[in-house]
Amino acid sequence: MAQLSPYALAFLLSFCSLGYQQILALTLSDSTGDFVFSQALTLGIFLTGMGLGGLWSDRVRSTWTNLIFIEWILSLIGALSVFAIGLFEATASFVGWTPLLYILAGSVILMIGALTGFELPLLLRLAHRHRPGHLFCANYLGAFAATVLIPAVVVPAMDVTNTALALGLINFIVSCWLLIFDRTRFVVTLHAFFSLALLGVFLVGPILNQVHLRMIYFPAKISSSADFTGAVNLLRKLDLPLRVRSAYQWIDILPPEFSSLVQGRQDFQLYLDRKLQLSSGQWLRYHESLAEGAINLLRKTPERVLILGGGDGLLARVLLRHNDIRRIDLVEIDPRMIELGRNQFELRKLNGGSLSDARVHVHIGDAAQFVREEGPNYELILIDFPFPATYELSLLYTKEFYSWVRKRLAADGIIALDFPLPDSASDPLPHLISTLKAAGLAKLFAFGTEDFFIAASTDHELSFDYRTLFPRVDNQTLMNLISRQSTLEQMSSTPGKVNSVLFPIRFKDKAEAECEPSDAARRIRHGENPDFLPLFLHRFDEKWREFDDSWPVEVRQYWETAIEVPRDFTDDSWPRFQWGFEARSDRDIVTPIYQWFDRENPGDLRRAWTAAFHMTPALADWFGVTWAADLSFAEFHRWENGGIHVHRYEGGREVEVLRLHRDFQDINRWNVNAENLNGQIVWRQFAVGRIPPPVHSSALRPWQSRVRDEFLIHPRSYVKGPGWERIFYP
Amino acid sequence: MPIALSAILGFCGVIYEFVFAQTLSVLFGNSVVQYGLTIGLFLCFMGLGAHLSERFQSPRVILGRCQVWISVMAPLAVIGVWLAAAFNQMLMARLLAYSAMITIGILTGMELPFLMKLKSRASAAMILSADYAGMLMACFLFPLLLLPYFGVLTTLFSTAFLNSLVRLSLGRAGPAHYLLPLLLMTGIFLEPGLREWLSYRLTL
Repeated sequence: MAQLSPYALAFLLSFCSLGYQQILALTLSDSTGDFVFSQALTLGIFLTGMGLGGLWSDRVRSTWTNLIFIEWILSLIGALSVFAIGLFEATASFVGWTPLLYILAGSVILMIGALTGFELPLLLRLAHRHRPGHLFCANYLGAFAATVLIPAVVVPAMDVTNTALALGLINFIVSCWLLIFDRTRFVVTLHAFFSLALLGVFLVGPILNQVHLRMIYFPAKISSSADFTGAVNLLRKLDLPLRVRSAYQWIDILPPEFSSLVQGRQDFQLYLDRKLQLSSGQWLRYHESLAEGAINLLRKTPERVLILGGGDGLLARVLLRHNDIRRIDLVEIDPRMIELGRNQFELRKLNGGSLSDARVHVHIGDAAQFVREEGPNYELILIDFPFPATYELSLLYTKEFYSWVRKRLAADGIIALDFPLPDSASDPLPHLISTLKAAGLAKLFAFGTEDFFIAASTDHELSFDYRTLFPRVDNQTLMNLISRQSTLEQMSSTPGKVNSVLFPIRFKDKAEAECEPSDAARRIRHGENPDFLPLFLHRFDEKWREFDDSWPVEVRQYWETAIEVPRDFTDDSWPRFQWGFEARSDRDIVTPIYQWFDRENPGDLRRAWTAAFHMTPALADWFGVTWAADLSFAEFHRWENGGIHVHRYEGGREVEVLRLHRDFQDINRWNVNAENLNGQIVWRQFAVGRIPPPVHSSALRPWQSRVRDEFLIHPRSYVKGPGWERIFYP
Repeated sequence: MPIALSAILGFCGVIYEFVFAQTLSVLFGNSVVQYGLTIGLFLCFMGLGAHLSERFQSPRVILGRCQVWISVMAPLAVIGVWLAAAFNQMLMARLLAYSAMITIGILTGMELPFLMKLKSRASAAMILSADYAGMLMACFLFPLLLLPYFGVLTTLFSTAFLNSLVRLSLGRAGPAHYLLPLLLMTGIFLEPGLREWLSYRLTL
């Protein structure tokens, strides 16, 4: 045992030091969002520190006492390092100077490196009876074990903070062990004090960590002491977000209560590496747009579908609605994500247990490796990866990757993927377009206003068939499924670089707008007179430009007149305008859409109405969530008090006015009745399950989120509160 | 002189590390594991190299040989790994990658002790700190400049080119030693074609 101990010592010391380096790289990658850069930075600084420490160790007398001191300091700094980086990040964002984070974090890493570089020569000299080569060997083996085991095995198993504490504990145990070489009273007393200090770190560290975790998603802007106390109070009230570090990414789950306090709306949100991946308010629009949009472009229901990414199971859920889909293969690299999708309460509620469905086959592995292997072909391949802000994600956006995907595509199959909406010419979209084309996916089709998607096929042109699309999808989705071919063509005019595995591009990330609470939402919640109409007009104009010829001329004319209306807007006219919109809408919105459909499909009254129904509440979504809250309230009244009037035209002449209203037979079975003005029912649509108007999470209260399911909501289950915004409309 | 060499060699060693890590994460997936594994393997065998270096005399000659070996082996091995993968010999690619990493790790580890033994006025401390400075440089330059603007292969050829220049600077160079940088230079010029062909082969 005595023979072995210096080797074990050398092994443990380098294991701990490289372990600190690895977890600091991970922690820093959480703050900076770039794994490769953080890894390179910490490694470089760590090595520099080691060099300096080695130089310094020559000047110090080699005694066991010195080694014990080193272990103490290393154990304290190491155990505290992860929490310290959180603190540094908060400081840097408070000061508003990002390099401060690098300077502070770098100095911690430098210190750990220096202490590591210091201890090895010391140990070599102290254990002079042992072969230095063998000691070196043990030392390097420790380093090897740390770099391989810590990120891939230890951290996924016990999380970063616990890993830091465990490594600190190892250093501490080593220092206890070293006490056998120096049991003077001085050292032992100091050791007792030090143990107390370490205990303090173990107690304070996790609290610091929790504060940091809350502050990531609650960026408090503090300019006065009142702000500060307010922020502290809110921080106390906030639930702790669920944070998981898997081997691949940081997974943060914000409970609905968190976002209702911070962002002003009830929303379950999932972040990957601090980037919003899904929220309960928008998941349906996003996933339906991708899945149903792609199926519509395919013009038939595919039998086999491949989903790359999408471990949340939401794409699978949307696809499972199609009974004709026989098999869905889902490839996800992160087993923790699958585990969360299967077991986490909120997430499972959203995906309806799709990951446990018999038709869904989950493969855990690298998507690039999966598509590279031989296997069956798919008619539809959906790609749902995070934005390629890092090199490792960039590999999944390369020419080679898309070529492998293309090889797994059936003859007339298509692939569909999401990408951030382009704002300006400097956006990375041209690179993606060039890359897809270089991979042999010649025909591209872009769609989506809120969520932007690109579908690609090898040889045939793609376009939507709106007639089959309308009945299938949610209103928000419908409004999203608009061709963006013009944007795509505009973007293709500037040739982009081809992303290749041998020459990767790091795509520039855009500012994350989703994380910021909407200013308008905040104002309207506080009952202020909102002055965001210019914003609304801007949105209006922006959307207006997106219309293309596939839209009915009447709808476009409607928008043109609607834009005229609020131009003379004053503070006094605000409420009138708000409700005036509601009064105008049944005639002015439903009718043109109805007319258009009537013209397109003469005699098919049912389809025309379906379209009109879908469109009306969907128009609310043009104004964003805050407006939708008002409008769905308006909708509600319209349904309850008299229904919607539809004016049926033939040859430009109004021939009939019908009143549509719903009558409920059951909790989820209802009729839409169309009466003429004599009260005679001329048409009846029996409906099961889905109620067309959208559910707006903005109006939900916490206790209602449990019953908020797409299929089972009684329409009368609204709750009246003190203000209009309290009214819950399913 | 040894100070500059030490910085250059430290730089080159880390760049090889990252080139291998990037190659492995492309071909075998899972960047996090591949980066950890590469860095660990390199560190491990650099240690072994430093240990082995004690057995050799005449540092200048052996250092020169190390440089030649590295500048020949590194590009050949990396291209070999890509080729093996392009012809779907994944096991071969893996074996080649790991054995090349081990060899280059050992050779890189031998450099520093030899540099210290070269007769010069520079102290060991200065040489060491120059080495670390080179490493730090590489750690910053690879993700920020080399990978996005030069790509994997150009970076590799240029680094090997640096190594071959180091060999020339050590003196007593034969014609083959002059040919080597020229060949690597040619490699840099041929890189776009090679890249295109590898990528084509890989996706065939």
